[in-house]
Amino acid sequence: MLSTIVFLPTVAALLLLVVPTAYARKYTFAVSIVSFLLAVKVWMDFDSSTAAMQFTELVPWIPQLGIHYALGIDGIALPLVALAAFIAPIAMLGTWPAEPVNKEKFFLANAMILQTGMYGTFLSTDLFLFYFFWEVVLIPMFFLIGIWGGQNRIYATLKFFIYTMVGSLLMLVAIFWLGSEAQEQLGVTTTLMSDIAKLNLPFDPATPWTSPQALLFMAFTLAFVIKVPMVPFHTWLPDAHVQAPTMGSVFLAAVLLKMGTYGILRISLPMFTEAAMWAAPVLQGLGCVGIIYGAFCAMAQDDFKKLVAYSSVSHMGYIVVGLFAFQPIALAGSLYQMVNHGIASAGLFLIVGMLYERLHTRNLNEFGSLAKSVPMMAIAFMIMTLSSVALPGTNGFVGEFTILLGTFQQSAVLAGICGLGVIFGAVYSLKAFQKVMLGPSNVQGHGHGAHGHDDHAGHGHHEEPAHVAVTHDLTAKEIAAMALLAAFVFAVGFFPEIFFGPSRIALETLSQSLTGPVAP
Amino acid sequence: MNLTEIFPYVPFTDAGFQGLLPFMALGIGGTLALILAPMKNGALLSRLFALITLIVSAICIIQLDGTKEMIGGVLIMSTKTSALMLALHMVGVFAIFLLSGEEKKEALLPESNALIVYSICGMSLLVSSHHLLFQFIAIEIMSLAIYVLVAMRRTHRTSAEAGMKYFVLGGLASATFLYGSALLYGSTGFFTLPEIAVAPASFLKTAGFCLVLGGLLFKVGAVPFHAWVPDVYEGASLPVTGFMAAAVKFAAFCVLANVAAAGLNASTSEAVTWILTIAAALTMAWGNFAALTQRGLKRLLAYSSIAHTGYLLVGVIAAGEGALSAGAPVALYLLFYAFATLGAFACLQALAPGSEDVPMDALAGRGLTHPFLGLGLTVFLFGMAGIPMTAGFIGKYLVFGAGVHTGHVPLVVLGVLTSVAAMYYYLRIVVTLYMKPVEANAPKPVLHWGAAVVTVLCLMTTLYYGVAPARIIAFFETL
Repeated sequence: MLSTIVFLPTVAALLLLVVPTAYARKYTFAVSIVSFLLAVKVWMDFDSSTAAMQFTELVPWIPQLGIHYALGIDGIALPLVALAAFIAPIAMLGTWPAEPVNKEKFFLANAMILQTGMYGTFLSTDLFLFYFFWEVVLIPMFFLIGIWGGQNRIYATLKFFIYTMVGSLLMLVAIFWLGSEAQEQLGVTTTLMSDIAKLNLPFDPATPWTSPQALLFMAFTLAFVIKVPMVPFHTWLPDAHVQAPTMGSVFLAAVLLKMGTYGILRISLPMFTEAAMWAAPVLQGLGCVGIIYGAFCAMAQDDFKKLVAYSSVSHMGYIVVGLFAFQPIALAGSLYQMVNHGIASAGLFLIVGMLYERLHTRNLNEFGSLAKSVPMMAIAFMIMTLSSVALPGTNGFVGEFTILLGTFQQSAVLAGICGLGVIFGAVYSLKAFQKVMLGPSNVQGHGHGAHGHDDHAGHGHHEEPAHVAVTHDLTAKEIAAMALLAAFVFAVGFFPEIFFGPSRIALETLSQSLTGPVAP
Repeated sequence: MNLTEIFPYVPFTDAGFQGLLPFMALGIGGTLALILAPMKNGALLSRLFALITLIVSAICIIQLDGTKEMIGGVLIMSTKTSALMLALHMVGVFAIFLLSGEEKKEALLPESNALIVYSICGMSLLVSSHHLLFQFIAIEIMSLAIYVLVAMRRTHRTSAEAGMKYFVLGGLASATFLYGSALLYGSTGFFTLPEIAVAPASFLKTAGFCLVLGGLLFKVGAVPFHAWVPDVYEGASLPVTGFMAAAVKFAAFCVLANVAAAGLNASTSEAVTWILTIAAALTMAWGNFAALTQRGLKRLLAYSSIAHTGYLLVGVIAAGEGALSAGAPVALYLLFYAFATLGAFACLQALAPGSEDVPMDALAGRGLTHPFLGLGLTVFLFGMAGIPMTAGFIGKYLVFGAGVHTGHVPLVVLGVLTSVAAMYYYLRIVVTLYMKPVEANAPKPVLHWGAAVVTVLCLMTTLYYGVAPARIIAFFETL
């Protein structure tokens, strides 16, 4: 079952070779729907009364190195798999171009292989396999940004790839180390997460920097926080987001960033608990800096896409703070926020993409008063903005409030600083909405703005009033995409238990193992 | 000095004769290919004969059963050496395929097919010998053929320069190796490695090991003996460069691993460990960083091959210190690297405009206009970079894993950090391939059937062993 979910997209991508280009996108969409239905099936059959891995698959892969092809799903992976499966068709719908893009099939094949990497990362229960899929994700993203990206795409894609690679290579060394530790302690070479968790990795508070556990923790966590991205390792993100095609941005923000926080939740915290507690103040501090710094950067942006990118830095900061609070509630909140940020950022990037397709600009000073001509888009934009600023009743509130509550139990000051981020978040998000949809129209042909118009120097809108170009509102496909996202925003906002109920036991078990059995 | 002590005379037995059959086949077949080359249709005939020779010799190797000691234990044919020899034969066959596409373009003489066979003969001797003097002779057989192959690209003047440079410096390296062997013999009284390893320690023995290793480090292109690599790679024609990167490195590393193991398991272990560790660190760092600045692809791949030498040296140290299944990681890395290299050179052969080096711009946009070549080259470069799904990743995982297992964590960390630089220059090629527009007056790529066959086979192997390496690892571990 899980293998089918993981490899269906790749098999489908190979079959794309024989699908005519005209039908390629429909075919890809159909495949993503099938993936989604499979995920729904897993969701239905999921037993939420246990924290154990379910639907497990275990086949020796490279027995000499103790490497297994091991998949499994528990309450922590389930919402993220569901998120990935939910986002994929929406990303297809929301970015459906009027005519095929250049090298359409290659584009779609990359999008599908990307999904294999995403599912694989969330479902692996073997460290080697986890690393394998973690890296597989990079390759299609590298092509998506590099071939179909904006003007500065090559710089952005190389930065994205190499930045991520630096972290993950050290993670690879840590995996070697754990494999060889397992050989010594358990007598078998193994990289199964369940076996690695049994290892006794010494941590000496007197010499933390040279303790094996701290070194291993740092190697893994560096890889994860680069992916998150946590300040100061975030600089690849704005570049990658701004240059990526819309579909790439959606996958990147909605799912790929969550791989980092998922790694912390799955590996860094449970396997290296003592080291994680030792490093928690630093990481929480950096997370906090990220919240505020990301928000300030977002406020200063004129480029809409960059604004959303920096807002991701800010929102992902909450997750880091929540994860390292070592409070059951904050831990749960972090998982909620992973999914919720995925939904909101996907929605906002889709909006940016739709605006860019219509007006060929991302400069906030070149929009204005659009709500009149594109009311549907304005509604969708508003819902996503509200979710992003965590208005009660939206899913964003569920995540950020829970994190803040949990963090407050740990440290009121920290929660206070993080709370400021919510206010700043409202400032830049509403500013963006106001500049795009309300106020006087600044849409004047375009071509003399500072950003965003570079690919379209030769278009012919200079003579006619520019808002004419905007007149068409959302297409049916775009409405479908945004309506699904909006439905999720409110459904989770009012009834979070529906979505996060299955995760409860897994989260409780995890937080008990981290903080001791006296969980409140 | 008693000569029979050095070259013990042992009457031929049937078993010993059987073990020598492959070498005889290679020698006779190579000579036939050489004689046929100047005739009418010589290109075709010599190519055919060279291929048949390699196949016959491979069959002779497969026919061998069990370990055979010949000439009083000087040549040892075991399943392990047979596997290594077969791998070398396969590389030879691929090289002849590649040569068939370049003969016209580069005005290569058909004799090059025979030279490939000769050098394979030398390499096969090299991997199966434990006797330092035989190793010296084998190195010379291999190298002389390669010197000529390098200098044979008559369309470009740098080729002769490269051949001469390689010849002079290679001669120096051989002399160093020989001098080291003499010291080892003088201090221990043996030429065979297992006996040298257990002999009592002495200053001369240490010095001998240092010199022998120095000669071999030259052959594998390790820093600081690497200066010849970029010039020779640039000067030689593409198939020869590919052959050198795949086969010469393969054979030289097999013997280096043997010598290093003997040195590491003896009283000399400290000095040998130091030499190899320093060489590995310098080679990884210098190879990778120097490659960053290269404009021509052959020079870039030359420096990248130096960097791979560095990774392999980590594996050699680990194997010598008895990491799990000694030697298997190095041998597998070499094998996977050989596939990736030959494949990459096959693709470059199709894309190259026939200039001295292959300029990066010749590839611009070709990934999208020629998807097969693009996919091939991308997979091979990813393989060299060690990205999952390719065999190169498994090789790197094995070598670095063995390094961590024997406690060389700093060396491995240096290795992975420098391979980030490697990631950049490999990706730069892929970026050019897919993300730059096609040059206006770029010549159209022509894929010769020989290169196509090599590309397909290497592509299949690289991907297959990247995903399902269990069996080949098991096979190499039992050797």
